[in-house]
Amino acid sequence: MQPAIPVPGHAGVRLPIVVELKKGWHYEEASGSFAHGRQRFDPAEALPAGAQVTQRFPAGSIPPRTTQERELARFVQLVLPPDDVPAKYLDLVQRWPCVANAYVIPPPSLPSLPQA
Amino acid sequence: MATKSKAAFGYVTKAGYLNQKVEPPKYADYVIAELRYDKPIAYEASAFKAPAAAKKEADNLNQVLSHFDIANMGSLFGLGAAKVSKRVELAASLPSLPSGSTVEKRGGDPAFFQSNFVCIVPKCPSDAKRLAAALGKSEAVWGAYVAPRPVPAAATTGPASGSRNFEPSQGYLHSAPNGIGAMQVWDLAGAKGKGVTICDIEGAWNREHEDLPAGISLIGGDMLNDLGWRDHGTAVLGEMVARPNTFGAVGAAHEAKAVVHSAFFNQVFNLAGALSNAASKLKAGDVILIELQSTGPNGKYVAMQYWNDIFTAIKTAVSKGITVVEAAGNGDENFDLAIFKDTGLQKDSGAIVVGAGVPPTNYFDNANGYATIGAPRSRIWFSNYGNIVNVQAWGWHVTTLGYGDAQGGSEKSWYTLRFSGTSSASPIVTAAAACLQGRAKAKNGTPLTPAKLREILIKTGTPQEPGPGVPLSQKIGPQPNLASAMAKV
Repeated sequence: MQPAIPVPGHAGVRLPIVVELKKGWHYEEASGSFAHGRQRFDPAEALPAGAQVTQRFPAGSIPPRTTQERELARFVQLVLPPDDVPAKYLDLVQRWPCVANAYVIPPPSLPSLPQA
Repeated sequence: MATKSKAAFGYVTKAGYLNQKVEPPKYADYVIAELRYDKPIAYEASAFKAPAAAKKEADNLNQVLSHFDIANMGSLFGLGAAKVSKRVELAASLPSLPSGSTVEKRGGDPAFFQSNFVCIVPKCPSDAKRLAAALGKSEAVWGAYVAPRPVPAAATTGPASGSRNFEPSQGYLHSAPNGIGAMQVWDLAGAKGKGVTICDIEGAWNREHEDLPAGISLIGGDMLNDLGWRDHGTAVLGEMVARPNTFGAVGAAHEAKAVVHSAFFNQVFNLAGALSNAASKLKAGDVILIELQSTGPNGKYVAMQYWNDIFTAIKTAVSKGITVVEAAGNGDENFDLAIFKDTGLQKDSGAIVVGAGVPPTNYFDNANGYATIGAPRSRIWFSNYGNIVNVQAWGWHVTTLGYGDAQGGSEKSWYTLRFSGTSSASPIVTAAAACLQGRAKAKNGTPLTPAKLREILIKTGTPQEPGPGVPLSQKIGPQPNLASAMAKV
């Protein structure tokens, strides 16, 4: 038995693809593309309509002053439309030139026992 | 009488933990003697008396009294002299050793039965035991004993109306080795977590619960609308900051400020973002608690720092002087397996990773009956373990707020005796961290670094114990002992 309280289905929680960019790459919100010097990579064509790319760390929470904060800025997330399955795109995303690593964190749960 | 072991903030008594002062009882120790039905003996304020038939026995009793300095005696039930004297008539008519039914047939009423009980108060309370022993030897007396001293009902059951007091069952607050010794240190300045903010990251809370402090802010993310998650968050908060009062539970760090942060933003799960956002709103010396787990590569639940974005977010928060406490998870997983090499489960994020330990009194109840779940402070079967698991705390049947198995009614007055998992263990450690930081700030003017705090908790803790099937090699670490830890601040 592994005690857990799962995320309720009715909550409609979505699991993004977490993308860790290669060093030197960053996401430009204005253009919607990944950039590294003069290199650009536009993910839009590879993703379904309605997919969103956002910084993993909410804007304003990470003024990148330290090395660790710059590390945080390397993480972005791809949020797919509600009916799409993130795992379906994982192999594709991992092959992008800007991507060091990509994964989907499985649904979270609370580490406790459900009570009647 | 309930014995006190600590008087600074609360009291440990045989009945449990009391957060209020126990007034001494109105009477000092006294003796209750029960006269035999068939002995026609009455009593006055200072002596027994009897007609000729029982004069010898009354004299013997008075002889006993003469060896003591008696302050007062009379009916235990407050019967007047007339009713006490009346017993003599009926007693004289009874056969030797009559049964209760025989007495009733002869006219024995409730007053008669009550009139058998004599209350004798010696001036010196320490005489009570010897007086009881001496009276008990008399043939006219069924038995004599020192009256038990009462524990005020309010101490264990709360006020006559409203919620009951569940604090006596919060054993995790008690002294080591059973608990973390929170109560022992509360009288130290700052040691209730004053000046420290705790941020719980999960998904839902009942912030309107009657025993939580007002003004617990949601500082980011969106709450899930789910009772199970709400109960969980409420239970977590209760262990840490439930208010000290005459009902409910009391938090181990009840002077700390609590805030909460959801790991969900517009329905998207993003714990790393929540950690980063929470850290941006906290300061050095504050504490973040991660109350989540997810499925690892073996299909078992693991700690959230397995994933690199979360690991990085924890490291960043810790680098700002914020202590991060993380539930190890309930996957019965060994973090030292080769499959976890180079992942966050074998690297130091700086967090305090918490395993679930067996509490001193424990049982597993199901349709098959009851069974103990293991040796105290051994790993509970479901707790994850390994080198990165730093400390443990009670992972079974923790008394706190929410759920309603201990008290129902409206949701804001629900309490539980059964909160379990690394979920219940982690807030205990979080509160311990807040107590230490509060003390450090009060004493030294500056908080401990997260690394120093973790080191103190580990070095001063009560060691893990082995149990059947759970050897010490399955490491979950010691249980914090704040009484020892405070000496290192």
